[in-house]
This record gives sequence, C-alpha cells and structure tokens, in this order.
Amino acid sequence: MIWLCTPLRLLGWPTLLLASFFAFIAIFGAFISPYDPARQDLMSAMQSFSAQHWLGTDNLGRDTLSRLIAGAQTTLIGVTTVLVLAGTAGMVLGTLAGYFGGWLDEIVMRLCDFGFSVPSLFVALAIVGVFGPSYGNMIFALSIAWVPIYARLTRGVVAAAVAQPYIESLRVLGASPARIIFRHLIPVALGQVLVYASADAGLLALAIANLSFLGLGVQPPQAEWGQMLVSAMPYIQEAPRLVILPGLALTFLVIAFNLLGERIALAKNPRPMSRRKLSLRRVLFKKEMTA
Amino acid sequence: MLRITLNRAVSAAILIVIASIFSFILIAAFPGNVAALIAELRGGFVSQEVVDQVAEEYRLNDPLILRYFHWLGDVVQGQLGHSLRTGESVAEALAERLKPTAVLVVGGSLVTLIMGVSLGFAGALWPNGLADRLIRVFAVFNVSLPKFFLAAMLIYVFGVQLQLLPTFGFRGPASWLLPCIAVGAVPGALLSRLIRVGLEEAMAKPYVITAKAKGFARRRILFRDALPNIVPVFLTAFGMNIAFITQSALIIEPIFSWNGVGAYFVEAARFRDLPVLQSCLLMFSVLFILVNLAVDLIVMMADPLQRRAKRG
Repeated sequence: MIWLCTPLRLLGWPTLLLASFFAFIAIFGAFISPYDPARQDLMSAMQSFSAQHWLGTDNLGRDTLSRLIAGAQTTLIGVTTVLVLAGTAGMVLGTLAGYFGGWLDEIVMRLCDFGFSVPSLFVALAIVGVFGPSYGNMIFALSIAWVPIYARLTRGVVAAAVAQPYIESLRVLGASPARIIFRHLIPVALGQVLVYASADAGLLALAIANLSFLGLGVQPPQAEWGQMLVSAMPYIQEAPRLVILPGLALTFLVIAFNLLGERIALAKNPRPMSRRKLSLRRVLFKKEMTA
Repeated sequence: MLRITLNRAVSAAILIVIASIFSFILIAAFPGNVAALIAELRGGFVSQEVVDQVAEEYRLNDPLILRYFHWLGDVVQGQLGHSLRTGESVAEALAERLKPTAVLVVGGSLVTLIMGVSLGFAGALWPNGLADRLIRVFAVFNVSLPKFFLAAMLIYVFGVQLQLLPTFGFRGPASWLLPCIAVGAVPGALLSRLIRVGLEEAMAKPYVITAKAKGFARRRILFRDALPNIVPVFLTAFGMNIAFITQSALIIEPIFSWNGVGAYFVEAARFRDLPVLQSCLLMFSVLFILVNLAVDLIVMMADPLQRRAKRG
C-alpha cells in the first residue's frame, strides 16, 4: 500500500475517499451502472427503493441509480473540458499581456475587469441565449465566462517573473521571447493555474448544473443532475427522492472538489493560511460568489 | 481622496463602455441570419422580400460601427427595442418586472444580514456555543450547496410537508419568505463565518489584551474595540453579496414562478429573444459596475488604513 502514502498524506482520508469515489464512478460508470440510463420502462415507473432498482425509478421508468452515475460522467467531462479550454485561453492571453505589457496588457486587463465585475452566470446565460441551448454551447459559454480569472492569474505570475533578474539574464544571453515564454514563464504559470483550477472545479460543476437546471445546458435524453432535479420537481410530493438524490450527489461532488482544491493549495503552499485569510479568500474571490 | 474617487469613476465608465460593446457584439455574433430568424418568429410566409424588409428595418445592412452607435443612442434614450417573441416593448416589460426582483434582492440581503450578523456575533460572544458550532457546520456546506437544491428542499419542507407557506407566485409577503431565504441563506452563512473569524482575530491583538488587563468585560471589548476592525471586510463582503443575490434571482425566480427580471432573462435565453437578452445583459452589467464602484468608495471611506495608504 506504499503507493497510497503520498496522496494520503497530501489529501487526508475523507478527501481521498470522496475524490476517488467520484473518479471511479466517472471512469467505470458504464460498467457498473445496472441499467441503460436512457431506457424507458413505463410499466415500472415511479417505483421506490427496491432490490431491482436500488434507488427507484423516475416518471418514465428510468433507473435512478444509472442516471445518477451517467450524470456524474456528464458533469465531470464538462468540468474538465471547460477547465482545459478556459485555462489554455486564459494562459495564452495572460502570458502575452504579462510578457509584452503595453496596450495589449491594458486591453486584456480591462476585459478581465469586465469579466470580474459581472457575475459569470449572466455572461454564460447571454452567450447560450444567442447561440441556442445545447451541451456544446454551454461548454463554450462557460469557457468564455471563465477565461478572465485564468488570464489575470497568469498575467500576475508572468509579470512578477519578468521583473526578476533571471529573466533579464536570459535576455542578455540572447534567448528569444518564445524560448523565455515556453521554457521559463509558462511552467511557472502552469503550476499556479493547475492549483487554482482544482479549487475552481466545484464552482464549475455548480455552474453546469445551474444552466442545465434552467434548461439551457444538457438537454433531456442525456442525464445531468441539475436537469434530473428540475424534471422531478412536479413529482416532489409523491417522490421527493427524485429531487433529493441528484441534489445530494451534486452537493457531495462540490464538497469533494472544494476539499481537494483546499488540500492541493495547502500542499503547494505549506505555510497554512490563517483562518481569517481562508474565509476572506472564500468571500472575496469573485468566482466563489458567482457559482 | 478626490483623485482616487475620480480615478475609480473613470475606470467604471470604461467598464460600462466595454459592457455596452460586449452586449452589442453578442447579437452581431449571432450564428446565421438574424433577419430570417426575426421574420420567422413574426410568422407568416418567409420570402426573401420579407427578410430583406426586416433587415432594412433593423438596419442589419449598415456597417457594424454605425449600428453600434445607433443602438447606443436608442439605449441612452430608453428605447430598448421590442421583444421578438411577444412584440412588447422591452423597456416597459423590464419596468413591470422590476418589483419582484427588487423584493428578492432586498429581502435576500435582509436574510443575509440578519443571519450573518446574529450568528457571527453569537459565535464570537460564546465561543464553542451553539451558534459557533452552527457556523462550523454551515462552513462545510455553504459554497457547496446548489441554490436550486436548497430552494427545492425549502419547497418540500415548508410547502409540501408542513403546508405552511405558499411556494408558487408573487402574492404578498408570505410568498416572499421562502425565495428570500433560498437566496440569502448561503451568503448569510459566509458572512457569519467572516464576522466570527474576523472578531476572533481582532480579539488576539495586543490592545485587546491591554483592555482585558484593565478589566473590561468581554462583551464591551468585543463591541468597542474589536468591532471596528471588521467593518471594511464586512462592507466588501456585503457588497459582493448583492451581486451574488442578484445572480441567484436568475435561478430562484423561475423555481417560485416569479415574474421578475431574472426569469425574463432566462426566458429570453431559452427562446433566443435577442433584444431582450441584449438589454438584460447591459442593464445587469451596468448595475454591477455601479454597485462595485459604490462599494469601493464606501469601503475606502470607512477604512482609515486604506485611505492613508492610497494617499501616500
């Protein structure tokens, strides 16, 4: 069990268990799910917990457990895609702004200011509204709404690095801008971006669920927790479990992401933040407030 | 002080210009033929002639820059265009729907304030007491709890099980209660933790130890000496909460079938109602930029440290 020691020391038991639970479901979901999540069976609709359907069935007779598992996959794939897209675009913009400065810096930072002053759900909603509600457009909209935070983060790291003597020495030695950027600046920024992304994932999961809940993200045949919850709302009296289960699943996923992010940030920066700083960061981090 | 204020005002003005460009560009970025979409939504037979007529009417053939300034001129005069779906004036529809959203934002802020301040102070007054433990429990859930899940649970418990409160529509103060709680509970939990931790930190400072040595009561020290320390943080957090609560309106209004601005925005997004989308985005962006500006200035006035640091 030696291979478990490092992640365990890094994350602690509760975080490790929760995170690996969700990772397992997302990866092996198709093999462990007892039924096809989209298969309707009107004869066995609205069943409660039973041996055949562990978590019951919904109004169309679809197996709730299978749909919850499929929902985990939808959410995790969406979160990963958005983080990769927004992180890459943000890093490109931020690196260019931080390295070259001048008017480019000014424009990128002003755009970021705009992204920070308007909550991301508004921006995402408007973009989805223009391009039409679908899974792909939701990913696109969220990626755009999430770019500013990564652009600003990267720009800060890069601008601080550029001011240091070692970058200046590289220039004196005749290194090209491309070499400095790719060999020396991006690796520094990438670490910070990854740490931040791990803390950001929970908010993204919430944003995806919010949009799907409003009917603007994942469309019905595909299973997603927010969309499962909204389609179960009319049956809240007869079958509250159809509302409670996806809600709980989402809550625990977000808790897992948040714990993971906190632990990774802690491992990266071992001097623990004071409690006040932590809670301040919680409140003042714009993105935290916008999910 | 004046110079900083002016500086901030200019940045806010630039942000508002960016917001207007962004709101405008969105429609220009519309994939496909806008004129054809509008003609289709109007019903009737869509011929090339009709499409051309619509394009002429909406000035879709003009250069982008001209269209932008034309649109901006209309907006400044309060003409936001007409909804593609219903044909009603967007400005009138917005004015009509402002009241539920205003109730939600004010009510939600009140819930936040009451919950945050009472729990926060109770936690600081009686460490490890009930309030303190509640704050810690909430801390695990606060950012992780989806708003729509909280709202659904409130509906289930108070509407379906206990049948105490109405869960549907905007009809009098009783129906305001659940939505306001659904909107204000999460920021309230955040605020309570912030106050609790801020007070605790202030209570560890040397001058508080001096006050203790002088024999003042804990309560007096807390309110007289520690309280001013958390005012700037409190104000900033509360300003942020306004943005947070307004954003929650997008999700909470449709759940409780309130006919507010948030629900209007969501509906417009569902039906690709371009003028409504554009107007809502612009209006909310300007609102947030102004709120941010106000909060910045108020915090600056309230925080002597920041005031002095910025002057130097």
